[in-house]
Parts: sequence; structure tokens; C-alpha cells
Amino acid sequence: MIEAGSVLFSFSVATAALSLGTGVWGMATRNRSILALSRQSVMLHFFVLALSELILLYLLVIGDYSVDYVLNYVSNNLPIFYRISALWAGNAGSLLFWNFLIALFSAIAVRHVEKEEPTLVPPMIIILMGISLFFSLVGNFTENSDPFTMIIKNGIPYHGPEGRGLSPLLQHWAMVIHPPTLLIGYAAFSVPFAIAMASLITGRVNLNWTRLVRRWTLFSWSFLGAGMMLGGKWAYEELGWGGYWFWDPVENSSLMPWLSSTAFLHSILVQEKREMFKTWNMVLVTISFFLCIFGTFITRSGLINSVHSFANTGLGLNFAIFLGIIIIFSVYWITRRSSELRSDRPMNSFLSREAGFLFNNMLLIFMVIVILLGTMWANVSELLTGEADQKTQTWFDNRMAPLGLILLFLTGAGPLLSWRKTSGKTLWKNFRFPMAVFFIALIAGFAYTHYTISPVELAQYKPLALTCFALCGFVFTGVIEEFVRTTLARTRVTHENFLLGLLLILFQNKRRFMGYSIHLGIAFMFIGFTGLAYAKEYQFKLHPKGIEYFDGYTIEVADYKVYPTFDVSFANLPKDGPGYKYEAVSINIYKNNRLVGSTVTEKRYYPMYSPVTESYGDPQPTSEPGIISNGFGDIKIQYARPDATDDNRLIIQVKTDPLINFLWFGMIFYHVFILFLLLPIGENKAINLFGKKYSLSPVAHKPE
Amino acid sequence: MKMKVSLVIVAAVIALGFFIMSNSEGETQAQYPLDKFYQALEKNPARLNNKPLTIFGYVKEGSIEIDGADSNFIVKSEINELKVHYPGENGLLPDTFEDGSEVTIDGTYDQAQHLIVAKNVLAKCDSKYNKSNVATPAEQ
Repeated sequence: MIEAGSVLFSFSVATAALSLGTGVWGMATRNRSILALSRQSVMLHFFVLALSELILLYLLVIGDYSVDYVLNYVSNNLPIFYRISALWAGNAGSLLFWNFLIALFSAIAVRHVEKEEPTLVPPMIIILMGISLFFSLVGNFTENSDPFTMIIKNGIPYHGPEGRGLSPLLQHWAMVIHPPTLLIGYAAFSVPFAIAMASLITGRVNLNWTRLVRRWTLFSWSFLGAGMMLGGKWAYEELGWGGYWFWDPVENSSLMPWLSSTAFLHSILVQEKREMFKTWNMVLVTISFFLCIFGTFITRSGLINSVHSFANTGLGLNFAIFLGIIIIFSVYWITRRSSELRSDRPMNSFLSREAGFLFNNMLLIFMVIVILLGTMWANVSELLTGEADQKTQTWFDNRMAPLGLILLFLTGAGPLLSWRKTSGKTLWKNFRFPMAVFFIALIAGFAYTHYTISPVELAQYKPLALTCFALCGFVFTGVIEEFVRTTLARTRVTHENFLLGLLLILFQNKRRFMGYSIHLGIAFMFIGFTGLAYAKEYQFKLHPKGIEYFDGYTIEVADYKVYPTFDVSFANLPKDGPGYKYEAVSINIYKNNRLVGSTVTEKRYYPMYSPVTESYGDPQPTSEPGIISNGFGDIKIQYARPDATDDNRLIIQVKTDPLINFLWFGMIFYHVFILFLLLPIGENKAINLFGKKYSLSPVAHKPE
Repeated sequence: MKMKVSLVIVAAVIALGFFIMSNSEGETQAQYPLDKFYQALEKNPARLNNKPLTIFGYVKEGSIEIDGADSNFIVKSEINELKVHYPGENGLLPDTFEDGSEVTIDGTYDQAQHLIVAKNVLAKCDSKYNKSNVATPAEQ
């Protein structure tokens, strides 16, 4: 079975090369049968990689410890759920999974584009298979990148009795789906890139390629966003005293492509409506695709020192070359077609929808550059001055918070502008209520802070946080007003009730209103981010039954338990137990003599098998915080250890974030609407709802 | 209009330069692998005193001492060693922190005692793509 996997995986180099080669040959000779062969080889390539993936899955599930990768990520007592996640838990597995996804999306994209624009298919195949070929080559020819490598010990194949297992830190639901979600986002962005480049290569730049990439971009973008947030959720719940975001290079490298693809998603709208930004869109699609690969490069090349960067896997040079090829290739084709890409439509006014998009794009790219330079600053400054200076989290916070607020303003303001030029009258009509809400909220915020906390300095008012709330009010009002206005326009004609009308206009102009709803989700998330300004942290020591007061809460240690109660080695842990040792502290939290909630925080010690010594060595501790949700916010409690110098009192840390649940809610909210946008529902002239048919044609009254 | 757009872009570029280059307290700090830190120390020890910095190295086996809520340990490279004091009020040690783990220490250098007072200790996420994790029998 291992041999089959290994052979198939090597064979994927050939299948990718075959479809790439026949693609080039077919395009050069315009030979239809060769082009058909090229298309069929894409399918073949996909099947080869899918089979490799299945074989690896099988090896992980049965726990075949003669395979190096299996030995490192699976252990005898690892549940099947986590065995599946071992597919992407390591370097070799994640590269294969990424490659498999590219092949899968290539196969789907070829079918999709073949129906709509068959001329784009051959160059698209060349690009997609070029990308996949790179991953197959890297997997087969770089150290530690082939998941089918067998273990050779003293010159003979080795089959261990037990594996090292998946780190218990990664045994968390969000960590199981976070890597594949991000990888889907990264891999899917290959398709918009390939379609855009194909339209350049064929010289058909005026063809509406943006229509073809829309869904793909949205799909990739939503997975990038969800992947990031899942990583944040995991960090928040599993890294005992962590937050959800640290401006760590690994996190930054997933945020950058998300930001640039957000820009791309908006600017292709301008190309569709106004035939502007054509060159810019080509640049953006390249930047976004580049950043999808670049993140992997910086985190796996050893270029950057980060806690969760990966040790130097020898992938650095390969990825650097690949990134170079992407840049040269794209710059060459964009320059070669520059005259065709030129738009003859000038920008009419800064007070126009297209100018709004221009600012949004500039701001997002601005953010990408700030994050990029901040992340790489140690390398940059070492080049410039010889001293490696790094930018701290404070540096990122101080820059990204104001930029985020400008972005939030544009989120609200953009939809209120008209295409071409917004007249003074429209401007007043669209902005008066949102602006009024903004100012009222801002003043109310300052007044409330003034009377409740009576701060002395301006900074204590938390002006950025108050501005953020006021801007969220601005975004909400703008969007709700648009919804109400359009719904009333519809119901006036159709005489449906208001709620039904509201539901129907979501589909009547699906992209517009679903898009606005996504804006609402983003605003919810900003409220969640702002919670950090009000977060508090405290550490104390208590005996069981002891109490402590913090931030208006009374915290009681209700119980302290150690498992097992007798001394036993990890190898002899009771079979009916959880399979690890733990200390558990039960906590009750009260406010005004009323129980807010009870929770348990643990320190666990998982046995870790070492294949080198063939025994259970040092255990891996994990901290399991107790989290009590208190409406909008959380109280998070983590037990550390008894303090031996202080009568063994228990060291406990508590953190509050009063708004964090807005973050998770906003994320779910906006992904629900992305899902609606992605699904082909409500795209006809009518929709069936509750057994009745409703028209979706825009009503006589034009809302804009 | 084209002129105006260009002006906006120029303004943005200037703002960007300012954004990147501006620097207030606590926003930038020097980072050193342990050996580089000793090189810098040799050149000018006084300059590093009380300066916030980041040190990369490994936790020396058997050096971790828990002292109440505080902890002390030694960070080492192949050649050098340096004491680290991590006051408990600054936070708790991460789960991945153990003998031999790769650590990043944010803190200040105390020249008088020749140690780092840590503000934050990070230990490398052990299982993610980590080479040391791939140190299997295959490599023996």
C-alpha cells in the first residue's frame, strides 16, 4: 500500500507535466486532439493525487508505523477524527493536501470555463498544472516533504509499535478544520489567477473574465477569512492565556492575501460596471496569488523567527524560485498587453462609487505593505543597518487600529456613493442619517465614559474604541437605510408585507444586498475587536474554597482535583480513564451575589511516545482554560500550578474581554451571506418561498 | 482628475513611508540569537543595559527552576548560556515550554546581575512542521 502511494505520488509529477506539455504543444500547433489530451490529463492528474491522498488517509487510519509521517502524527489511542486531521498536520502532508486541492479545483475550473469561454482553457491548464507540478516536484524531491517516506533503521525497514502522535495542543475542533480551510483558500486562488493570466495570454483582455473569476474569488476569500478566524478561535480556547491574534508572522501571512483579495473582490466590480481598473485588477490578482504562496515561503523557509514558524525544511529556495517565476511571468504578460488593458474611461469625481473603490483598494494594499514590512522588518533592518530590529505587537496595534477604522468608514461610506458622480442632493440624502448616528454615538460614548469612569487624560477615554463604536453605528445605519428604502419601494408595488419584502430584496439584487450584509458582519467583528481595549487581566493565588474579587466579579475556587489520585506511570494509566493525567480546578463566578457561571480549568499532562527511545518520555502539558460567557463577553480562567513557596496556594489567571462574542458572531454572520452568494439560489427572475412564487425583477422604482 | 488621482497616490506613498519609519517607544526592539547577543555585548555592554530586546535560543536541560509564581531558567546556544528570570506577574509559561525547547524571550537585559528579566516567554509550537519532531529512527 505504501509503495502504491509512493509510486502514485511520484507519478503525479508525470501527469502534471503531461497536461502542461500537451497544453503548450496544443496551443502552439492549434491541434484539437492534443488540446483534448491536455484536458483529459488534468482529470488524470486529479485522480492520481486523489488516490495518493486516500492511501495516505488509509495509512494514517490503520496507523502504519513503518511510514515516517504516520509515526510522527498518529498514535495508538488517537481518535479517528484526529487521524484524519493528521493529513494536514505536518509539512509533507499539508503540501500533498494543497496539491490535491489545486488538482481538484483545476478539474472543476476546466469544466466550468470550458462551457463559458473555451478559448481560455488551454492557457489556464498550463498555469494551473504549472502550479501543481511545482508542488509535486517539491513533495517528491525536497527533504521531509514526501509523506510516503518509509523508515529505515540500521539499514532495514522499521515498523514501530506506537507513534509519537498528534500534539495534544492541536487536538481541538478548530485546529482540525483550520489548516484545511486556509489551504482551500490558498489553493482556490490559483483559479482566478489562472483565468486572469489566460485572458492576458490569449490577448482577450476585453472579454469579461471578471465574471468567470467572481465566484472563485469569493469562495477562496471566504475560506481564507474563515481559516484565519478558526485559528484565532483555537488560540483563544487552547493556548490557556492567549488572545486570538498576536501579529505573529504566520498569522500575518494569512491576513495579507485576505486583504489583497478583499481589494480584488471589490475592484473587479468596477471593471464589470465601468470597464476601468483593468491593469490594476491584473496586478491585484497577481499580488493576491503571490501572497498565498509567499506566506508559506516565509513560514517554512526559516527566514523569519517566530514561535510557530516551521523549522527550516529546505523548502525556502524552491519557494523563492517559484515566487520569482510568478512575478516574472505576470509582469511580462501585463506589460505585453498594457495597451489593451488601458481604460479610456477617466475617473469623473472623487465622490463616486468607483473612487470609493479606489480608496478602499489603496487602503487595503497600504495595509498589506505595512504588515509585510512590519513582518519582515528584522530582515530589512539587518540589510540596512546590520542590526536586526523587529517590530513589536504594539507597533502593529498602533498602525493597524487607525487603518482599520478608516477601512470601517469606507465599508459604510462606499455603498452610499453613486457610480460616476454623487450629486450634492444624493450625498445629503444618503449620508445624513448615518453621519447623525455617528456623531450622536461618539458624543454619547464620551459622555458615558466621562460620567462612569471619570477619566483624567484623553487616552483613558479610549478615543479609538469610541470612534470604532460610532463608525459601526454609521455602517449599520447606512446599510439598514438602504434595506428599508429598497424594501419599501418593492412592497409599495407588490403589496407584500415588510419582512417578506426584506427577504426578497436580498435576492432581487443578490450581490448588492448580500454584499451589504457582509459589511454588517464586518462591523460586528469590529465591535468584537474593540473589546480588547476594555479587556482586563489579573493573577491571584487561592486555596480551595477561597475567594477573590476582580473587575466586579467574585471568583471562588469550588474544588481542586488531581487525577489519578495515586502515583502511576504514563504507560500504566487506568484504561477506563481519559488517557492523560490532570489537575482540575472548579470555579464559580458571582456578580452581585448571583451566580454568573461555573467552569473547570485544567492542566493536563499527555503521555508522549518517543519513537527514538521507544518509550513514553516527557509528557506534553496543555492548559485548558475555563470560559464563562457572560452575554457579549467572556471571563476566561486558567489554572497554572500550586505555589510551593506559598503554602501550595493555586496560581490562577483570569482575563475578561467584554465584547469578544461579537467577533465570533460577526464571523458566522458574514459567512452565512457569503454562502448565499456562492449558492446558485435566487438568480432567476422568480423565487419559490414557502410554496409560493415571487418575482425577483426589480420594481419600477429605481432605488439608486 | 488624473492629476488629482496621482496626487492622492503620492500622498499615500508619503504617508506609507511615515507609517513605516515612524517609531515610538516600545514599537521596535532589537532581536538577537544568543550568540549575536554576546557579540553585541562584547562591543558595548552598557548600551544593552535595560534595553528591551528579544533573544532566541534553547532552554538548557535541567535549568528550569520554579520559585513560587516566578520561574528561572537558562537559555543556551551551542557556545553561550544566559540566565533568565521570569517574574510570575508577567504571565504564565506556555505549554510548549520545557527542557530543550526553542524559545523566544522578550525582556530587558540587566547588566549588574547579567541576566534577562523576561516580559514574555514564547516556546516553539512543537508539532507544527517542526523538524525536531521529524527526528525519527530514519535519521539515526
